[in-house]
Amino acid sequence: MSENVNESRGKTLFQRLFTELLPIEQRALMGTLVFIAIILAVGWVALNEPRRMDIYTAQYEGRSIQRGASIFVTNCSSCHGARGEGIAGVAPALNTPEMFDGTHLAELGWTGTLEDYLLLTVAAGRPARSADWPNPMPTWSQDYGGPMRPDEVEDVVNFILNWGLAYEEGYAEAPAEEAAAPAAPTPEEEEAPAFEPVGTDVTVALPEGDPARGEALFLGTESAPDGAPLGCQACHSLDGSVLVGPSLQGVASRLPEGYESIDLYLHEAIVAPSAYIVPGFEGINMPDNFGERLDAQSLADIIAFLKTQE
Amino acid sequence: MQSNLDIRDFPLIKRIRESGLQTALLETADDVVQRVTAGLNIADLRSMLRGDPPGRPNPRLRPHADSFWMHMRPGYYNQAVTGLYPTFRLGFLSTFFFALEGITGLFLMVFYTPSTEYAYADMLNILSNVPLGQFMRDLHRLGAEAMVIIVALHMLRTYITASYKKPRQFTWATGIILLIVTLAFSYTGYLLPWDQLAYWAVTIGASMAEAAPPPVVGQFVNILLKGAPDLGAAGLLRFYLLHVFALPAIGTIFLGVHYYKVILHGHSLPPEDEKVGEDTAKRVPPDVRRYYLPDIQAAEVLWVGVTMLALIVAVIFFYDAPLENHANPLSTPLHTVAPWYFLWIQGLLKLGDKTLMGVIIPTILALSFLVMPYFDVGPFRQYGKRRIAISLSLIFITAIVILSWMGTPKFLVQTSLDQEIFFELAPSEKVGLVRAVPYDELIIGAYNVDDYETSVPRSSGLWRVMRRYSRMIEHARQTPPEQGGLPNAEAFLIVEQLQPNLKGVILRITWDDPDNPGERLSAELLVPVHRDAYPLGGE
Repeated sequence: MSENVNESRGKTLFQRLFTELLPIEQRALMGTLVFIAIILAVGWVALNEPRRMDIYTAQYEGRSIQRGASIFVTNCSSCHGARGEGIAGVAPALNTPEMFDGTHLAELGWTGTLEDYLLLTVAAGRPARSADWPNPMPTWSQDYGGPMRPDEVEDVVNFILNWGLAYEEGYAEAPAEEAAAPAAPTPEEEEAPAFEPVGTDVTVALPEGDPARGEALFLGTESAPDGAPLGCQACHSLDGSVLVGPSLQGVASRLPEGYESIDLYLHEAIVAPSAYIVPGFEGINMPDNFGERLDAQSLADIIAFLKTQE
Repeated sequence: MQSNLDIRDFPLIKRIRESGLQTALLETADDVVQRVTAGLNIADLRSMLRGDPPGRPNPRLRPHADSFWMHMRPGYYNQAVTGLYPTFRLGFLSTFFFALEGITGLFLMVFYTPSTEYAYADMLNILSNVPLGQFMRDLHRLGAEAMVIIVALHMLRTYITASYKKPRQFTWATGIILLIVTLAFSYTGYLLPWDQLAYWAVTIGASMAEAAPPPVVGQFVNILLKGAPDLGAAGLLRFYLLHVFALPAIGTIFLGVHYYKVILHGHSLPPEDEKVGEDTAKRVPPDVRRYYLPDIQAAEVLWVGVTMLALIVAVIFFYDAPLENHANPLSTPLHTVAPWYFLWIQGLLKLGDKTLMGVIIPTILALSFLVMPYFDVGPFRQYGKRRIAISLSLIFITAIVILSWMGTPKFLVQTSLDQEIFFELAPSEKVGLVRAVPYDELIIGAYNVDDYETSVPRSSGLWRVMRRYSRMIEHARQTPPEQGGLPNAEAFLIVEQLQPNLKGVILRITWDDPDNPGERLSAELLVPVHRDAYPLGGE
């Protein structure tokens, strides 16, 4: 390389870097160091692989539950309730201890896993089973002519299975500061109703209602006094379309014959829904337990809200 | 009786008997080395590594005559083209990336099935269950994007130094074909993960095929490419076969031609070293010869090492190949864009007709690049004499950059501001601000954006989300309704516990309906957040 060095005189380092090769000894040394660095880096990645794969798996399962939640809210909650609590006469509860401790599967004589049972039921649906449950479960998977891809069915099942965690021994959601915040109900809290149910007596006098809170209760964005959302909008639309029960668009100006006032009609329709059935909706049973789930104020709020639907 | 097989006739035994064990082993080793290197013995290798000058005749030229791989490289270079300038070794790097993509691609192929049913699940398996799976995928993806840049820079360099001129016109034309092959590689590979990003980016581009004039041709090309009017199982299989079979075959053939032409014509010297109209690349005077062995090869090995290390460091610390949700033909994510190297076409499309902007102009562009050296026959290569040509290239680059910017959602895309706000806080396919908040900092409660300063503790990640939310709402209140504004907007963020380890963040905005005074419009989005979904508080 001696002639190289001679030519280099008078050139700046920058010029040399751009127009010449470095001496071969320097390149050999740099190359060796670079390849050692590559081997070390790949080795380090390889050593960390088991941990990384575990994290990725947990992350993927978490995201599957997230997607399942979104699908459940759009497709399932209108019948099974926003929190899987079920709606009497429409669809059974999913979020129950019996579902996860094997009792339910034993009753059905199912010998496979709960996951398989859920996958099959969601994917293929189920015909109407008895007079208590007159509605069939729709088919959901594309494999059987439904609208969902198989991986979406799995997402929903993962979401349903996630409720089971709450029934496992030793489970407690959360740090103390969360408990102090205005907490939404967790299953534990639902057990003790700290309110006075309004009951089914339509002659009870109600306080002044607040339509805004009534709307929140109706939409399920605010929970009922018993801690769970009411889920009214799952069956009753406000825009004229028929979901399960009649739409409540214009309900305030639709007083059936024989009722003294719209207040009284709405009051009775909520706490004793079977007393008067809107023509054309015979055979559809609205749950009749709202008298136990609502206090007087909540009922008044919902009535006030419905009266705005003119 | 004479045996046909006599152990004393074996060459090694014969040698040992003739000259002793040590000498015989050394001579045999020398033989083996000479066969493997196609002409160099141990002494030659050692003298090369010591940096000794070659003997005469130069034994280091022998492999170039005898070995297949070495005969594709010149035996010696002109000293003037061995530094970083003028080639920056970009052509060599392009070939390196071609090989790297082949190797990492083969690894990924083992774990991948080209069907709409399994492709996405296979991606998840590669990422969660295959050791080094994510590493290989990241290398493959990053390598693909880097290759597009390197190949484009290689073309740019060739243009700037006017190396495409006589006698290298055809080398340039094969280079244009290799650039198109590179883009096609990247583009077909983009679809294979079968996630939302892949599906919609490719859908945008593939819709161009349909616009090819006349309609009968467009329909035919569309069906040929996708196997059906819409992108689905048949399209995925076709893209896969293009990616792993057709394009590698075409690429290898043209790479071979391209390399052969480089040997044939030599590396063009820097423009300032040549007299006007001359090309002396093939006549290298002995005093400026730099032999490929060992000088150039050592430089190339070092260059490979440095590039590889840079890629690995990038993959470990900075880059993760994206994987969005499973492809869903029924739901288009907001702000879908083409891959970045095709953004300029998306920009063009916003300016006019699909057939003209999406098909005719890019085709004319590619064809004119292909034949450019046969029309640009001026003898000058010196920079000072090519002011127009170099200015044109700068204008072209500027135009591509501006068009690419116009291809992004920042230009001429009108969506309602409520959707924009939701998109920024919780985009359907990316992490976004809300999901990046650590799970435990999502404090359960209902918050009005107007009083977040008092209702959300500053220590919570939620506070920063609320600040951004409130600023966007303020902006939306002040924007006129005809530009997508939300008059008298009220906005809320509600956090509730949906399930064990699963919180729901509800974003709700209500505003005055500009068309029906007294009415309110509303929009709502539920964002479920699982404790394990974003382990590092984001991606």
